[in-house]
Amino acid sequence: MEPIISNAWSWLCISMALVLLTSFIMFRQAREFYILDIVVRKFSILDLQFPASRKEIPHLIRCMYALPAPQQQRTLSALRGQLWVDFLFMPAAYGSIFLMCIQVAAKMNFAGEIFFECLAWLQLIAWFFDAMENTYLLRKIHPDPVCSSVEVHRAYQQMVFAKWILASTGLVCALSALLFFWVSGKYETGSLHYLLILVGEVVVFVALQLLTRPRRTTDTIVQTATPAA
Amino acid sequence: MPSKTTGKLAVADFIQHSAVVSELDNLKKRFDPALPGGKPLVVSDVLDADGHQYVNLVQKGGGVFGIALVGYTYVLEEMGIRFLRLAGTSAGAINTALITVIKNKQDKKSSEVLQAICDLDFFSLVDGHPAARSIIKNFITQKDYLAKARNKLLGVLAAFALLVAGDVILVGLSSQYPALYVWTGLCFILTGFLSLILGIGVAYFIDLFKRLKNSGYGINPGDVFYDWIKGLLLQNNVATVSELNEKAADCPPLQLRVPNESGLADLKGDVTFIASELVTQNKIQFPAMCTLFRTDIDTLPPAGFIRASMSIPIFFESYMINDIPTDDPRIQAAWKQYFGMSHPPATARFVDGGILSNFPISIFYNANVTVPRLPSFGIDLDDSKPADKEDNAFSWSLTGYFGRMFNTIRNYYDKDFLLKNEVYQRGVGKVDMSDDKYNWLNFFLSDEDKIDMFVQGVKAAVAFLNAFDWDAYKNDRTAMQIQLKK
Repeated sequence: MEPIISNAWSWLCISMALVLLTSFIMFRQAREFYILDIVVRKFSILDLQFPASRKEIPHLIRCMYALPAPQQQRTLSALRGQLWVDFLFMPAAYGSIFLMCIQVAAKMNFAGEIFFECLAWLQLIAWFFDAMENTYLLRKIHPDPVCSSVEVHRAYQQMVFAKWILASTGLVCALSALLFFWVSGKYETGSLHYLLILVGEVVVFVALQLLTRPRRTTDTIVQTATPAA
Repeated sequence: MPSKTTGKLAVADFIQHSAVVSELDNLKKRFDPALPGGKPLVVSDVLDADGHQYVNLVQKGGGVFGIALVGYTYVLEEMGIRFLRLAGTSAGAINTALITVIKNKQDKKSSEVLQAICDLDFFSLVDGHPAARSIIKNFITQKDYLAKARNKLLGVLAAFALLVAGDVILVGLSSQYPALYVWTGLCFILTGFLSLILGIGVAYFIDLFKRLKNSGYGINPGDVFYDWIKGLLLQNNVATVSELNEKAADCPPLQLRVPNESGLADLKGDVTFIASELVTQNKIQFPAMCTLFRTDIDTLPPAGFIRASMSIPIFFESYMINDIPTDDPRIQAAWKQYFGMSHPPATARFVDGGILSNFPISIFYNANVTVPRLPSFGIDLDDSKPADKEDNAFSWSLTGYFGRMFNTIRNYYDKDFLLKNEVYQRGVGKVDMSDDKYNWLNFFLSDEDKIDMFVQGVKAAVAFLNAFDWDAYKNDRTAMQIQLKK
């Protein structure tokens, strides 16, 4: 794979930095995720990815529009923003898994090489499904969302599951194999620099997350944003 | 809307069941004066022009055991008994609501109630997250589910520990034996996969718990039930609280079998659903106490009262009434009048009335009447587990201990009334569901189970009517009232 990717470890450090940066932005946006479902409640993007039924997504969106005006705008723009930022997150995340799988494939025997190269290229499908999922959700966000048909909802669920399965399989297999190669001495000592850079990026990310921890709670949202309560 | 059942369960499957037909035939023969040895069934002094006898009826809550309530009321209706005042909690509130709104007071309603049961897929009422639905289903239908789940978890953890140990050992050995190289790599990948599965499991559990917290600690939203009961109310032209009250009060002209000093003027039909309000920690009687929450009671949906009454804690989300106009003097006066509170809450949060009063027979107590004109009938669902009836004061599990404590608290309110007014116990028939055959939360009942529960209700009603003695009841209640007045 040398002609395609030269110095894949450097690219991995860059893509991981982008993953963490976009994650940081998306975590901040998620702090504004509230709905008014009788009372003000928090929700997570996972509620939209794994709805209990096909009615749940329209229900959640309606509950966002039910919020009092200032919070409603904050929530909707945060959700839309997160879905758009996710389009930046996707190439970095799936690209990182792709790079790791390619790196592992280079160390494998023939069968292992084929397996990991397949896993690497399957990340493109996961990326495509993720993009479809975001487009679907972005189109749903309006004051009167329509409940999807059973078939469309099922297709959406299958895309979400396929995305998660492909990405997590690629990540786990690649990380496990990398760990194996590393502990069995198949990498040069110099590769440790890249590991340190990656660990450093994660430490900065965690530190920033802790430093910018929210102080506002649902209770204060209720007090400040719900007119009649 | 709830999904419809795909089976062919029909009203006839219930009412033409051999046991039901046989029990009812025998009962009718016993109370047919035209037959030798037959005597007329007398249960009340209040009659309409068609000879129907009127009673007050309270129905106990008990989850899916509510089907037995329908069997019980079916027999009462078939024997010419009609219901003037109705009250119920939880499942009892559902049958109470349907009996109230379907047709007119003098009509039989059981066929329509059974049709509603036939049309309903009970499992659709469990409308929470699919994972929660699956756990609930397994938990209720498999008696040793918890033990199995614990064993599976221990198995996964043991496999994880073995794989980690295998990683370490194989890495050490593969430097000496290169043939193990591939197996070491596979062991690492398997460890990674198991870590992923464990991670997803933990994350999923945390997510489900967050959902539970966000939903106010209710697994199922209860929206399907709300839509179902609302649809049934609307089918029977009840959309507002006023329409519900009108329907409950609407009576044909009544007459007394024997003269009574209390007359008939104050005899009016009504309906009561019991719910527990957690913010102010009170028992709420809907629709009578609607004025606590709205100045215009018709802005409250009557389906909400039944939804509030059946909000089994944890199983269903609490029912909320928001935006209570706390500054309105009428609202403040209502809270003062009912509960002596000067500061009404802005939001009321309701759970199942059964945690306070699962068998609210006390609401039919009338201190102003010395000689009763009609009895207060009650349908008691005995859902206590065999273990709960044991006298053993030791060897309880933690859940058993808390279960007994909770049962003592929740049952004593109604039990206290019956102990102090023992004569009311004479009007109570008991449906024995304590044989551990069914779970009151089992929303996955087969059609045979539903029919069996209905039959149990029928048998209990037949046994009750065979034993009920109106004259003795009337005399004892009169004696009690006279004694109280002294």
